[in-house]
Amino acid sequence: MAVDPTKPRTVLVIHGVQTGDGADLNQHQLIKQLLESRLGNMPLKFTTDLFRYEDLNDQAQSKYQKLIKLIVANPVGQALTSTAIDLIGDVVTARLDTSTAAKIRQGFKDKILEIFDAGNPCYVVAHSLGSIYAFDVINDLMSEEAFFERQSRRTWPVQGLITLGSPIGLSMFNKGRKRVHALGEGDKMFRWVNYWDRTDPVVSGKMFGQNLTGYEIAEKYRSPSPKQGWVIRDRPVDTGKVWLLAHVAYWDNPTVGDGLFDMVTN
Amino acid sequence: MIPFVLISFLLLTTMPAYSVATLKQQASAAVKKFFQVTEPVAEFQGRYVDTPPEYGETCRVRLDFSEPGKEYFTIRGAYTPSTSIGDGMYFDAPDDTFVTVNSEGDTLILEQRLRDSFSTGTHTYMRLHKQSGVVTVTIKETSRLLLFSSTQTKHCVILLGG
Repeated sequence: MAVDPTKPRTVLVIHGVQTGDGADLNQHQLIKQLLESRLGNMPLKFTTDLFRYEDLNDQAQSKYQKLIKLIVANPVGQALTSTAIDLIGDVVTARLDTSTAAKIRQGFKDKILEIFDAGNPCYVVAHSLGSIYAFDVINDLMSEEAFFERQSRRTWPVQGLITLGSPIGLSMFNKGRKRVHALGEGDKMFRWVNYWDRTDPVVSGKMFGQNLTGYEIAEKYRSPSPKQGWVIRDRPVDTGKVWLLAHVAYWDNPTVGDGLFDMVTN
Repeated sequence: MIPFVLISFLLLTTMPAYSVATLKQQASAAVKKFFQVTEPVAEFQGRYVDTPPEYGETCRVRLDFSEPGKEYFTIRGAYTPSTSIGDGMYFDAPDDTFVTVNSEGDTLILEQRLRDSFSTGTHTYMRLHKQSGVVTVTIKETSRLLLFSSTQTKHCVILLGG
């Protein structure tokens, strides 16, 4: 098992949670369009794929989804769009120490390893709650002997991580997640770029957005130790949407597209 | 008049700061005393009781005082991700996040409130009860994000010295 850099890249998307079944999800198509729009005439071979876990999660979260549907049914809820409310509700109600969450993590890990076994360089794009699953699974893979030898990218099942509207800066997620897994000695760096809109309330937990200056989300995980082996950057974007709508507006953002282009081509 | 105002100001500003710092220290000391641990790290295996089965059957209570300023006292279950040190009390958080430390006989109650904003944060309540070498650790954690909140309660039973 080794990554073959001559093979087409695979951009693997993991979504946030929302109502509807897995068939309703198409974020990988949006990412495909976004990346194609940034490539211009550059002949880059790539595919996009989506890890779906909604059907699995629906069973565990049915009571919360009933509640969310009730909220959506009232005039305030209707003004906000059901998708945004679904995502936010599920961020807070999702339990990451349950058997369902463990199945989701295992499924995502299996999907990554399937791409790895085929030799395709894999890049993960994770939205909302999906970014927490991605964080957990990638760090878990790094802790395994068989993968992520720092000096050999061919042993890396994931070449880079992009997170969109991640709630990882909220205490409910970061209080227990204190650090990323260090890759050890070497000079190859694993890249994690976190995009956020300042008015996205899922990122900051604030009703009316967060100031850009001095606000660290993913960058809280940076370490001065050269053994960490991660490049971690927070990148603010202006999605053109505000508040809850900003949380679901990353998929066609040119800044995100340029960042993804940069990651998969370098 | 001016000295009186100055003294009043100092009293008002320094007293709360002193008391909240003490509360965090009290919480840390109370946990150590409750478990009677002298080592920097202690771990106890246990089982969940009266807890939804989705959290699994086993639990592990860990007290880690190995890194000054980054101590923690947490519970992990069979399905807790490897990247997480679990749910519980984090002593790397600011002093004023500790809101209750109440020790009475064989019972210890701790509360910590981590705020991201006025509408978002987590509130963790822990009740530890010891009887005949058996400790029941109850953790009730409420997470809030904007319009939503969710509470989970778990009970982990461990055997001291077991």
